[in-house]
Amino acid sequence: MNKRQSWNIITLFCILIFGFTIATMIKPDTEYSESENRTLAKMPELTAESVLSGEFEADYETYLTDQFVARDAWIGLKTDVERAMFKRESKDIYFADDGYLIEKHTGAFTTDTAALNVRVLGEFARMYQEQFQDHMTVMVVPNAVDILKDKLPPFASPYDEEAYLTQIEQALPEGVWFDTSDILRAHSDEEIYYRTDHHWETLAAFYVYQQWAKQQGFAVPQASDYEIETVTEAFEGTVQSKLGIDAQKDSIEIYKQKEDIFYTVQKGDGGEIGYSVYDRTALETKSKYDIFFGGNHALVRIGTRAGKGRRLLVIKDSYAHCFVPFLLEEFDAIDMLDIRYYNQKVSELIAQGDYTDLLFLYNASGFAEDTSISRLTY
Amino acid sequence: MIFSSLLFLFRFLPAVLIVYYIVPRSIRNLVLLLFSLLFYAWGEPVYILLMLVSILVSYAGGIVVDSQKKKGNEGRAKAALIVSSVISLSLLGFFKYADFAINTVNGLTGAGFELLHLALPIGISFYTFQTMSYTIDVYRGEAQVQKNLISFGAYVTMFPQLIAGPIVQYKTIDQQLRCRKETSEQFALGIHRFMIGLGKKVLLANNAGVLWEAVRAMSYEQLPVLTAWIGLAAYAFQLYFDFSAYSDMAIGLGHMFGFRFLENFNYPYISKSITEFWRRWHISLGTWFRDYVYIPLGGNRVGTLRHIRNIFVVWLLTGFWHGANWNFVIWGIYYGVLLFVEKFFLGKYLKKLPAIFQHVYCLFFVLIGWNLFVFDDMKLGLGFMRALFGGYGQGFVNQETIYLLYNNVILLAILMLGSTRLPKKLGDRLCAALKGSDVAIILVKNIFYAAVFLLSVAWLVDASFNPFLYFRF
Repeated sequence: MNKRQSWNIITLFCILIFGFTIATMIKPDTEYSESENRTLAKMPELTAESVLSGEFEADYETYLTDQFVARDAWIGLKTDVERAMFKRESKDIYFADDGYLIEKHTGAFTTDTAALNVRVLGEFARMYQEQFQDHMTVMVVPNAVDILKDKLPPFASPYDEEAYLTQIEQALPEGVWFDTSDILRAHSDEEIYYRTDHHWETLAAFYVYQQWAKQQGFAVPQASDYEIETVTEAFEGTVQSKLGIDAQKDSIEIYKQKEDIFYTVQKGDGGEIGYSVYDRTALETKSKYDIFFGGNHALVRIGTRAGKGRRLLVIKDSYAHCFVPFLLEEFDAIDMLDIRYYNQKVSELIAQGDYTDLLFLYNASGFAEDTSISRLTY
Repeated sequence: MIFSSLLFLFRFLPAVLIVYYIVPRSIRNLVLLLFSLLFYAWGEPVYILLMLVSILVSYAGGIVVDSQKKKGNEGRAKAALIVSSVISLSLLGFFKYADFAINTVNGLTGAGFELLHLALPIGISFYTFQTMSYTIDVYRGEAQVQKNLISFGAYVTMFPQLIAGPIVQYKTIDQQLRCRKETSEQFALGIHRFMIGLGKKVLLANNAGVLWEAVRAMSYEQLPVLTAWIGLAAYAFQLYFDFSAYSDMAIGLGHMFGFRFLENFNYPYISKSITEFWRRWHISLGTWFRDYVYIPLGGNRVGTLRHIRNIFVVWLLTGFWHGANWNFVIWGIYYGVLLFVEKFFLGKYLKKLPAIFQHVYCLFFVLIGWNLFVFDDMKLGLGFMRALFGGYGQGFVNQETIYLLYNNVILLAILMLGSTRLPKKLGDRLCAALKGSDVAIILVKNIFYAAVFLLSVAWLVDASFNPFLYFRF
């Protein structure tokens, strides 16, 4: 190496090292990552105690990583390179056919939590079986990785969610389990899961509702009974965020009753009364799926004029958000309980609620991983 | 702190470079010492005291040994050497092996002594060996005494090699500590080495690690033969690219500050025998054991039985050095046996075989060695080994194997080629072809190194799998 070559590489090195150093120092901190949908780490507090315990050092490194210049672009670059190397997955997400990004959920179903949740749910169902009789339904909806198997990369063999769903079914009393897998599998060539998000689409919820309505003895609706509105075509969901790449965008549809129906929606006891299950301000943000009920709330109380004399408690995760709007004409009251955010006793809520029906609706991986399920029987 | 982190690249390194190069030459060792202490203290400030004690003991040991020797008091010099060595080894023994000893005693006698649960001070095995080599060399007259505590402290703590080697023997950098001249050529050389090391660690070792961890997490009863071998090979690549990357980065950083450390790895996976493998793998450790254990015991210039004893002593210690656990002991003995067999029986026949068989022989035993090495839990290790040989009747391949293979085909190809001299040869040939055109060489090199660097940053920003493998050492 001669002097000229040496100085060239030294110059390049200094530009890289000092350039990024200065850039990271002058870049103002970002509080919230729209694309990742999470609060980014802040500069940790410097105290003698935190330094000696090593806490400050660890937090500072997280802070540096979270606040790095052009964070999203780096993450996207990494995923792009992985794809160029024939990798058909990154961060436990398959690059599936037709632009689908499908989470693998490796290990989610074989943990202690997953096994505990099955037991607790069984116990919970037996606790209330006498009260609700055949007005109790448990649906645990399989994830895209289970239903869209045909779209997975060749030879991919993720964990079989059906094995886990069977465990749940067996833990429940007779007649409580409502199988959604077969319904969804029959429509697996339609748009029933988002390409970039972990949720099912409204169409999938509609198909499941049709079958459930039949079982419950409700009027079975047809798609033509609804006014279907595409509220956005620029939805990039949580799965895309993890990869940071340009993906095919999703559209979100809502199924509105053709005749105006009147109902009230109250988010949390003492919360403001609203008149729609849809929150269109969510469309202006990254998390556009929050158009349904504005996202997760501990408790949402819906009052309708259905006049059917039935009152429903839904214990749910966000998969229920696009399902519940189909129920507005069948129940006089629908309370949606999100146990992850609810810190009172479920038994008290049920005792006070005068419910005639109970619906438990989760997605499979969400259920298996949820550490708050154990509070169901409190 | 580890090199492959945003913190090191964009906070620590720029700071130490600026300060080092603006201060006058006379206090550069002090700058290195202070920054090295900061580097070490980051995340684990308490153990810095332990390291300072270790430094003071061997510093004082060196001075006493030297002065007693000059006075002709051979016996006192020897006594001082023994005292300082015993203290150093006791610190290492206590912090690294206490719980292992307690566990063993409890297991043998049924006693219920409580474990101490001490966190192992990072790098203690490396710096203890460095400080010991110094006092021993002073006693032997192979190294000059270092009376400047700052220079000596800078030698022991020097951040490039502090936490994962290479083990730098004092005599090899004594002159450089006293007077060295940093040049632009050497700095540029250092940049090359550092960038290569960074890329090897972040892009190759970590990704090989992802593949290994995927296989490791599977249920071994259901593992087909090929999947097990792919996993084990991935671990072999992970360890080599990780460890040699640390040495590359250490050597590169050393160059940036005007030091020349000896090489630590020399394409170990192209070896044709286990003997050769250990001449190419972690050279500084092998050299240390040779110079301070094997040869003092008489090496091979003694009767056959003592020669054999010497081999096993060295390999038992080598295994034990890698971690306080039985699997490391067995791994060490395993190599002792292999080397013994090669030396006394197999060696001469092996050489007559076609080269390809020699390679296969060597890699096979090295891989089985890594199987022993990687599992703390011997039961798991044996389970995995059973899968390697089809002991669970799961056949040769399944869907998962094919999926793993085609997903990692490029990675595995790069890892394989990267373990040989081929990339270096191609690079040299390219530079030779471009000879005469400075601009072309500069362009090619700069684009290559910038790409490696930027990709590494991308992987670091994504906070992907980035383990530090030497906590046990």
